[in-house]
Amino acid sequence: MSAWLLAATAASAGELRALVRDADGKPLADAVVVAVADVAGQRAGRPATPGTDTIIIDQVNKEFVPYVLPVEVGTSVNFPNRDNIRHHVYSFSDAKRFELPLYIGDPATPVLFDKPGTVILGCNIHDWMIAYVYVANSPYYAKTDAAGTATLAQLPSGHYKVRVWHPRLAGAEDQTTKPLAVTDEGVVEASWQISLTPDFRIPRAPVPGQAGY
Amino acid sequence: MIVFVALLLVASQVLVFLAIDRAVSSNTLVSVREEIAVGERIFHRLLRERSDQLITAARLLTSDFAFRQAIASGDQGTIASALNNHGSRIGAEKMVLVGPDGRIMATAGATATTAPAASATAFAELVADAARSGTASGIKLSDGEPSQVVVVPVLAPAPIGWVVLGFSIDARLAEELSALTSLDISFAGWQRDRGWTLAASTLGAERREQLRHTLADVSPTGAIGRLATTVADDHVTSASALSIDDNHAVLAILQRSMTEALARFGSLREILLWLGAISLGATIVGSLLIARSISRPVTALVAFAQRLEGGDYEHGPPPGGNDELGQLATAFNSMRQAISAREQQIKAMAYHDSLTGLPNRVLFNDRLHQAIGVAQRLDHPVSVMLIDLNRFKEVNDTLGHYVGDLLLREVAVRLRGALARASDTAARLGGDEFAVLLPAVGAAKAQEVAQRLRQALMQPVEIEGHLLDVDGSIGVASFPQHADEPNLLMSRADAAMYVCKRRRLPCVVFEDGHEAELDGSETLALATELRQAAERSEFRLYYQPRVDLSRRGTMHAEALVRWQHPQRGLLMPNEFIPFAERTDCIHAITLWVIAEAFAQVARWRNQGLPMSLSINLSVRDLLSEDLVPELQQLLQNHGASAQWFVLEITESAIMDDPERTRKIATQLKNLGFGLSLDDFGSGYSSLAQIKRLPVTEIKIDQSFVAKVTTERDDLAIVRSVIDLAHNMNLEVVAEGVESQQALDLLQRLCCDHAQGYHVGIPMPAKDFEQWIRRPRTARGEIAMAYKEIDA
Repeated sequence: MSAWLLAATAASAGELRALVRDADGKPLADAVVVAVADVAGQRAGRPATPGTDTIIIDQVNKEFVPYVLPVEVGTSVNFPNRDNIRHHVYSFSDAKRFELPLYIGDPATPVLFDKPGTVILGCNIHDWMIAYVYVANSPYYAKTDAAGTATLAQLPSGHYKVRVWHPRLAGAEDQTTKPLAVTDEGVVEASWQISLTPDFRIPRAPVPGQAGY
Repeated sequence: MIVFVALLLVASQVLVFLAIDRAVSSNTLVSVREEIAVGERIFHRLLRERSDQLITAARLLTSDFAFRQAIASGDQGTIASALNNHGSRIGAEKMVLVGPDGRIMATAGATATTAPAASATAFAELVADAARSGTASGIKLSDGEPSQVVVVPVLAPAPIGWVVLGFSIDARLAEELSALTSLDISFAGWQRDRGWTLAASTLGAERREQLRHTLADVSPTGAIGRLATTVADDHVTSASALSIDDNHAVLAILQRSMTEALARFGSLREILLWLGAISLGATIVGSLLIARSISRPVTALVAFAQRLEGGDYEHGPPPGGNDELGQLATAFNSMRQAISAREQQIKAMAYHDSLTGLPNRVLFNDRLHQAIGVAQRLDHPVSVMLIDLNRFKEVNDTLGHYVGDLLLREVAVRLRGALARASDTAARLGGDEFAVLLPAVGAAKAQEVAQRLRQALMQPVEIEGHLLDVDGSIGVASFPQHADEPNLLMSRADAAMYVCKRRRLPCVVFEDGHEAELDGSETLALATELRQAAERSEFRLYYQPRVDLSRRGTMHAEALVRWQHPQRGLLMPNEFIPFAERTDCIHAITLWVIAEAFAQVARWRNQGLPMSLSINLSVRDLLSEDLVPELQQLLQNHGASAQWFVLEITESAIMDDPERTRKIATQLKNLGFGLSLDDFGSGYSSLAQIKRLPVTEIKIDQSFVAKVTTERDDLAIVRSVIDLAHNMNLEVVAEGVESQQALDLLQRLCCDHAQGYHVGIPMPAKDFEQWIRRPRTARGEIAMAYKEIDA
């Protein structure tokens, strides 16, 4: 996806470079930066419509990969099972409530995320497996890397409201909103410092006969 | 003794019991405290484990997919029923679902409808805790009831809410914990507005009430302090707060009953009591056995020793066995016999004279007292005799003490032999003094006995080759005639004895005048006076004429000493000479007499009166080495010649030491003195001895001469003596011539000289001069006149 974002940059002029850190000032990975244009028409310069490429969340070695997947509303995601055991993927989230009962290999149909919001994925078999699908109501979004940076390229010039989301974000997502102006040729830089809730990741169950996992 | 041992044992056992009891009590207190401490740790651990278990159970519950689905459904009713359903699976009493935002999304359970708001505030803290650390648990007061509350997240898989599960702390839990900790467990809840409630307790109703009473009106912290310090009612208590804040508190109160703890030692106590009783019984039995085997024999031995102390040697010790006590008894018995034997010996020594075997003075006095005691009751007389041997001292001095002792023994044998009755006692009072006690015998009969004794004594004794003549002076006194008590009786007998001795009588019965004649203090005074008499010139020399029967001339006299005593008047020689002989004064007197005689004869000779004198020498004089030189000196001093004097020696002097007497007599004879044997016939001198002596004359004892005219025997003796003397070329002097008939008879018998009252009495020098110058016819009258005075 980042490759796609970088390719888009070449065609347009605007670019947003975001840095997200936690309350301690450490760079925060897996944060999603979303820019929403103040004017709806700004969508014109939008790159190719999603749906053509198959977006997937793998289940590898009893983990969801990736951990955070930002998508635009209306995107279908496939959940191929690369493990040789069955998984039972589910979501009780309001944005998308679904269930893929015990299966191996590729499910028959991908899941369409048709409402914006956060969808938390779990596996009914493996409690510790967790993944987030962030369904954005804007085509302009990016996920921070390990250095806490995310780049939104090919942003049409104009005014945006830019916000940050993270799986452990304390408080409402709206409160992170920042208004930013993007010009054709310019690079806009912005940084966020957000506080996090405690990590409730359930530890992996140890495999019998093996130390740790 | 037994009682003492038993008491001692009881006391020691009581002490041991008390000590053990006290140790048990204090140990129990300590161990109960330890039990409480341990129990408390166990209790808290159990509570922790329980909460862990509850959390685990709750997590399993919340991870149930269906449950999560139900929760995620968002439907109030569904959620509540799911809570109820799943919560009751693990026994939760109360179930609350709290949203991620802290709002209560649903409640379920028994008290679900009562006060959800109150629950929310009560759990808010725990939920916040769980939001931080995943899970939380604690003891909370909910609706006044203490509950164990756990909070777990509902993960889908991120937290979509918190499930709060309450498990009531009830009697069942208390029982369970009590069983595990062995403690009484109570849970008490406190609310500021409602005070204390006792939620659950394993205590009985009564103690529960006590606990309520203790808790009343104190704050939770105060309650903890109060309970910890309360050991009252036999309980050790520990309280700890399970949760506490300003308005609520839950206390866990752990208690241990001392009574129950002590009950464990009840059996020990019982065993101790039994042991005590058994050992006490054993001690008593043992003591009785010991008493039988030791105490009683010892007591018997003590009694025996006390009898010994009291002088009872008759009875032996109690019979003993072969043990140590038996040996002790045997030793005691030997001791008894030894003491008895020694006492007999000591008694014998104390009451008997060791030389003669006769009773001594002590025993004699004893018997005398007894006899007088008996006599007083029976109205009998009692007589005592005191016997003093005559001239015993001479025997002792001349023949030695050995002979003297043998003589005393012989006398004792004779005395004993002469006493007819067993009740009569002969005793030796000391020296040559003997006494005889005659119970129930009056003075007259006593005199007969005395005569018999004297006859027995007078048999000559042969000892060590010496033929000894024993004679005694016997004084008799009778009770109650002469004295009414023993001491006086003895002194009266003594007086009679001295009178007897003085008068040379065989036997004298006491008369009233005797005592005046002699008493002890006078005798003592006499000794002093006698020593002074020579210095004070109190001696006088009297001259008794003697006639020469062949020529009828009278130019010879015997010098006789008199003592002109300042108080008593003129004393005869027999009143002081025997005494002087005993006290060494005799030699001084003799020297005085000789000096005076030498001087007088020298004077007479100068006056033309050709007198010669006989002078008496005592035994002592003859034994003195100095006699011969002294006489020579005196002859010189007075210008006298030895040829003028005849020295008279008594027969007894010769008997005492014949050799020595002969030696001295020879020396005197060589000086020129004439020698005369005085008192011839009164002793037992042998003719052989007389023959060896250089004597020139013999004086026949007056006892023969006095009765020469009436007794044929005496006449025969006098005649024999005269013949004998003449045959030996000795002259014969007859003493005691008291009548003309005697004088005539003696003249017919060819006796050479006569002396006596009939011839002339002893008279002072002046009178003698007058007497000698008178015609012969007038002499007799004067003599008679003197005789009367003298008598």
